[in-house]
Amino acid sequence: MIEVNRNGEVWVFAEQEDGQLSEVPLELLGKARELAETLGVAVAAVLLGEGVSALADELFRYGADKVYVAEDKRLGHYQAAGYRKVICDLIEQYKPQVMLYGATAIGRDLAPTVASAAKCGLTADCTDLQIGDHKPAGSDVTHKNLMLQIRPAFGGNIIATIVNFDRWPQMATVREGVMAMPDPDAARKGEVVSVEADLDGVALPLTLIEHQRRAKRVNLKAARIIVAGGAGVGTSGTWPTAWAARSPARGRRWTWVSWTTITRWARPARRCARRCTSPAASAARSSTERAWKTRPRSWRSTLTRTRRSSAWPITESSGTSAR
Amino acid sequence: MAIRCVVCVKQVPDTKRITGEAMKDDGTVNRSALPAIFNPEDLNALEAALEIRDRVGGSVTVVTMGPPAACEVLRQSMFLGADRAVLITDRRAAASDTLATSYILSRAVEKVGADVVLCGRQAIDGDTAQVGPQLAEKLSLPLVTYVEELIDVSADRLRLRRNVGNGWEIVDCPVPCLLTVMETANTPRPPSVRRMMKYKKARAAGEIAKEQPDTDPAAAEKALAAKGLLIEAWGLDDMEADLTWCGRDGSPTKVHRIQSVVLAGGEYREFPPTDEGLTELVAELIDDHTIG
Repeated sequence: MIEVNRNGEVWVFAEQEDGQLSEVPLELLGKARELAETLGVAVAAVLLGEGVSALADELFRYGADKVYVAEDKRLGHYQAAGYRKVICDLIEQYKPQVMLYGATAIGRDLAPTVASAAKCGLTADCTDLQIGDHKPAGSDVTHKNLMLQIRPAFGGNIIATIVNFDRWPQMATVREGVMAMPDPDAARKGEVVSVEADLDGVALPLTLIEHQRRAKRVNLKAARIIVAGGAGVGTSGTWPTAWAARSPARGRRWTWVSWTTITRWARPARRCARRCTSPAASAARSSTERAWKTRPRSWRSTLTRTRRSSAWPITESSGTSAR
Repeated sequence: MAIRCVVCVKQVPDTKRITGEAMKDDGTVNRSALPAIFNPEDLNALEAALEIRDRVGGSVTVVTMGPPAACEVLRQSMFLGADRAVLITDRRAAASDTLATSYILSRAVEKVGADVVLCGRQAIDGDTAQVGPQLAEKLSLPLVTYVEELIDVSADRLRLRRNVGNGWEIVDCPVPCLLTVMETANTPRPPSVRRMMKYKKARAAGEIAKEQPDTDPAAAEKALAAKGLLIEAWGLDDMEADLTWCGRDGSPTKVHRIQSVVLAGGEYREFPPTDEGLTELVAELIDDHTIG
């Protein structure tokens, strides 16, 4: 935990894998710029790994003023212990006021580990970040210019705004695709700060035996429209043609998810079996029964449902109203 | 050698089956509108612990933090095969965020003694997935998140497959360690009828006082303990927890504002079920950029 430091920078954890930057840190740099400009401070990225210093230029292009680079053989394969040590040392030394992580497999592993070691707060999966003031209930002190960390909770039933006014840095994770990707500026340059990774005495207990990465076949995140369907829509042959016919001469502007993917999503067999055998989920069983009973519906009730479905765009916008 | 497993579980409101308003007027969560259930992925963590016990022997202890009503998940754990259950309950632990919760749990795990600590990947109410990693850091244990498969289990080493979003990794991890388990890792076993009959009467001290206010709590506790049905209930003092890191004071994150998401219907339009009607509907959706 560090003291409140109003001159501290806004940091983004620049996640990379096998020398390739992920997209989230670039998206986060856009948001970080916005926060930093409101606060009047600089944006910095924290880049850890083996042989990664060349990636700094890309971070500058997307909005970083500074990149802290720590290179070490022991940072090649991500392990929480090593990354935590380097980041905590950096936080102690440079005292940033904000640090953002992508809510990826690595980010969701690393951020809580750093938060625990640094004894500072962390808000998961924020959908928006703003700068604002906070006055605790029953206190006269107003904390100015805090990062308001906005996120849905309770299964999306509420939107909570979280602040951390005394134990800094203020840290948050953000899911991929939530923040808009900024336009890169090829002319932007910045300062590279090389940091020594002090990893002596840090145990890195995991041994990587084998790993496999799936290449992304469908970029769902970038798709403006996603068409999905269940078993009732027919066969893999008829389904897409039906759609294409409905929007003549508009070309193929939607993302096609393969039929096999859909059938895999649509098959609930395993989940049902589990829910029914577990006493803890006995409530879930009744919900299955109810769904089954309501299936034969009259035309009238189908009409009602159609009316409700006209509210879908509204539902969606209030679900993400914080954005 | 046997492996002592400790599983951290949570009783959560069933956020998928919400009835009524999620929030009360004063901004707190309306728990009565939400049925309480065993957090689904914690069941997978418990199953993984039971699998480890089946393969190399040892014990499974289940720990939960919450009000005495949270004993329900501990009883369910006993039905499924847990050897011991511990409830951490203390008013001073209320309003803990993930950092304070992980600190309190770390004290409990240290008191129980563990070789492998297992947590569900995340709870369905907060969806933060933070307590597992934070607990590992507090206990200085190697951390393996998103475990999908226990490939090989021996007394001093686990071989695990973990999900890394765009693929998987197989890692070797020494024991002791902490794992967070995904829903896809296994299928929780059904409860044993014999164990259900036995442990359905298990109670923690706080529950006895509430359910049978007339009886002498000390005597009732003694009677339950003699039958092995007393669920241990620990307060913060029992675990020698440092109060500065617990509850509201130990939580750096504070709630600034909470808004209830209200899903309201808007206007609707009807189209005649003819070809023209459908064309009109599609044209309007395209104009609206809902499709196309």
